[in-house]
Amino acid sequence: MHTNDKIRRFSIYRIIEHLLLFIIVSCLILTGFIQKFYTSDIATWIIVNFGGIDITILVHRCIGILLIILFLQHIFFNVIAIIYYNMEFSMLINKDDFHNFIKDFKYYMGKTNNRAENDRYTYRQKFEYWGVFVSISLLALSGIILWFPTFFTAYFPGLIIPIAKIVHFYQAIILLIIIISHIYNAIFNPDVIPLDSSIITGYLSRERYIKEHLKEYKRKIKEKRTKD
Amino acid sequence: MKAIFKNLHPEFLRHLKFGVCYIIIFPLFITTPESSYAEKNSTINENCLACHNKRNQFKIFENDEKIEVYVNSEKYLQSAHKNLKCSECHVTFTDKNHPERRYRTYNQYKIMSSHVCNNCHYNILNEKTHKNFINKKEYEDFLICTNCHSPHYTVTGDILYSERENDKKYCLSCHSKGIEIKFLNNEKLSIKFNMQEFKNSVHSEINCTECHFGFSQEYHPIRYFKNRRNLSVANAEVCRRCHFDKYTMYQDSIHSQLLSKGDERVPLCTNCHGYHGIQKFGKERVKITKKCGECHKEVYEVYAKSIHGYALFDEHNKDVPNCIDCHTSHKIEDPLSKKFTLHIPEMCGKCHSNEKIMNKYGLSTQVVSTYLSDFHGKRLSIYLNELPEISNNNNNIKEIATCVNCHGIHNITSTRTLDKKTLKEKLVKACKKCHHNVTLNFTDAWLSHYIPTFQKNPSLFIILWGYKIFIIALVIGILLQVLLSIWRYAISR
Repeated sequence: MHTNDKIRRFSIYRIIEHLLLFIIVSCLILTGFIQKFYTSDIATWIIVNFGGIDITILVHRCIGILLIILFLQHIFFNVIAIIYYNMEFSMLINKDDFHNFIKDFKYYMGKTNNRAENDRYTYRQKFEYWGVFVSISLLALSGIILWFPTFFTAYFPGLIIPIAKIVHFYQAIILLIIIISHIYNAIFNPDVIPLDSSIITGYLSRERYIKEHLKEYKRKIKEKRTKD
Repeated sequence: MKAIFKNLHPEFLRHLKFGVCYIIIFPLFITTPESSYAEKNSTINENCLACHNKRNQFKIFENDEKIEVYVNSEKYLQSAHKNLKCSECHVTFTDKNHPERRYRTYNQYKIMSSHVCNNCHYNILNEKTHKNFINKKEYEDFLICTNCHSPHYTVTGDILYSERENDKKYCLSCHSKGIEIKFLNNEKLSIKFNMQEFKNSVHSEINCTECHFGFSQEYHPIRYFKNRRNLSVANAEVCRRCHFDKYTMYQDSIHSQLLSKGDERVPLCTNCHGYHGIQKFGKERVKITKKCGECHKEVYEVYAKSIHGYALFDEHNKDVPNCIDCHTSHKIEDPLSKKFTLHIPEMCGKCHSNEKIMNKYGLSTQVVSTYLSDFHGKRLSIYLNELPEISNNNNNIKEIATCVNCHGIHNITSTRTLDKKTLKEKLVKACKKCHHNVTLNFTDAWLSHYIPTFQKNPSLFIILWGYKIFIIALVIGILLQVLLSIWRYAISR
């Protein structure tokens, strides 16, 4: 049966959230990095066609606000869902992740043929999620400090501005590295190539569910049986 | 080579092409056996002069202009070209061949014959004297060699040297006496010529009429001027005939803009350089500064008290900038314009990022690079990158703090003598011009041209290097994971 072969993994809310995050972050990376590497010809071309550096900065800040809104609603709705609606906090890092990491490492080194049994999210996915989470919070904070330097220096020492400058740049690079590694894992990884389409369609094939998220699969089957 | 051709006047270039054709075709004529034989036997001059040594023979052009075709052989033999034979310049003419040529005008004939000069004097247009004539349409007459240099009697180098001496004597017969002219407003000006002053000047070799054109032994027009200033304005035009580069620079300057608005105080060439007794300013930096100070008194006094001015006047220090190092000598721009403002760091950087000069005084050479890597400097360099594109609407550019906003413009003083607190208070004042309501804390955001080091800014240094190391570790970790997964995949297949 066709429907039996595919299992729902992501709700529409998650799909839209991921899409928005993708659009907003790519815009921010573009408008941000052309400001940092302004000496290159491409950056100059883009800045001039944006209508000048002042407009580029304005656009960067406006999109930044969108990202902060997206980020805050993500925290807000998930916290409410976890506390009041008994949603599972599946992104929480626990002991199993370390065991899985060591197990997978052994598998990669060729010592065993068994891969780790993952829950809803693998340790790699958790690493990417929390990397992006921390990066966005630091970027947002340092970005706001850089936006209103006079306000912040009234309450904090002046040194926070050069610190915010360093944090904003290097954290952006870290975010970029995490995104690149995510692109590898979701597109070019030999397990999923040509594309892990689950975040676009919302479904994952049963075969891959068993292979990659065995623990969750077993639990889901159990739940289904008890329901029946 | 391309650049030289670009500078040439297009009209002249067309003529030059004809000239080149001449040079190519010309050997075909002379290498025929008869003509080369005739030339070697060198009776040719006499053959020509048999007729051309006689008076009252004319060449008539199509527009009824006529010239005498007489050549004075004695005078010719004293000229620079005495070793040349007639047919070497009059290329198609030999003792056997005397073609009849038709020209529309005398001028056309002169243009055609000027190409012959090019055969030997081919590099002449790159010389300084001639270069000035090439770019401007008004100088078209000068592009014909024979207009200045007599074709048959030309003497080496100078234009008609003997005539010049005569000319000077002629003018001085009146102008060495104490005569005066009167302007329409009853102002008087002595027009006595000071020969001693002139002989010491850089123009001592130049003829009177070369500058006072329109005047000669024959012509002495009477002109009326309202006042002395009007005479100066009219005479300043003279300089451009030779100093065309300086003239165009002056045309762009703020002085020229004010002059066209009718400002009476604006300096002309002669106000700074003088007229008959022109001396080179050369390296006399104090003299130049004082010259500017004659009009710009307030600025001069402020400058004299600054660290640069003090070093210039009291120590005769050659490293410090004087007026023209920043404002340039002729192309003086409006210093309040945004374009000028954007170039200030580059201007200061000329000396302040030069290690040779800065080491003498123990100053940092990183002042400009640290400025450029911070907020203001970065925005400034982006504006500079954009500038050609957005120069049409310069209003888009926000004002940016440059060197002068903190350090002062003409009143620059050393920051070493001040203690930290007063320095901060001074800095806050400068910040407050744009960033309203800032506190003393705000000044700490600027690292005072220092690159963060462990001793100076430990917190910054640790964060910076913490990030760098973490990023390297992250990249290595992710790469390792990627490579391992691919390797494992390849093995298990």
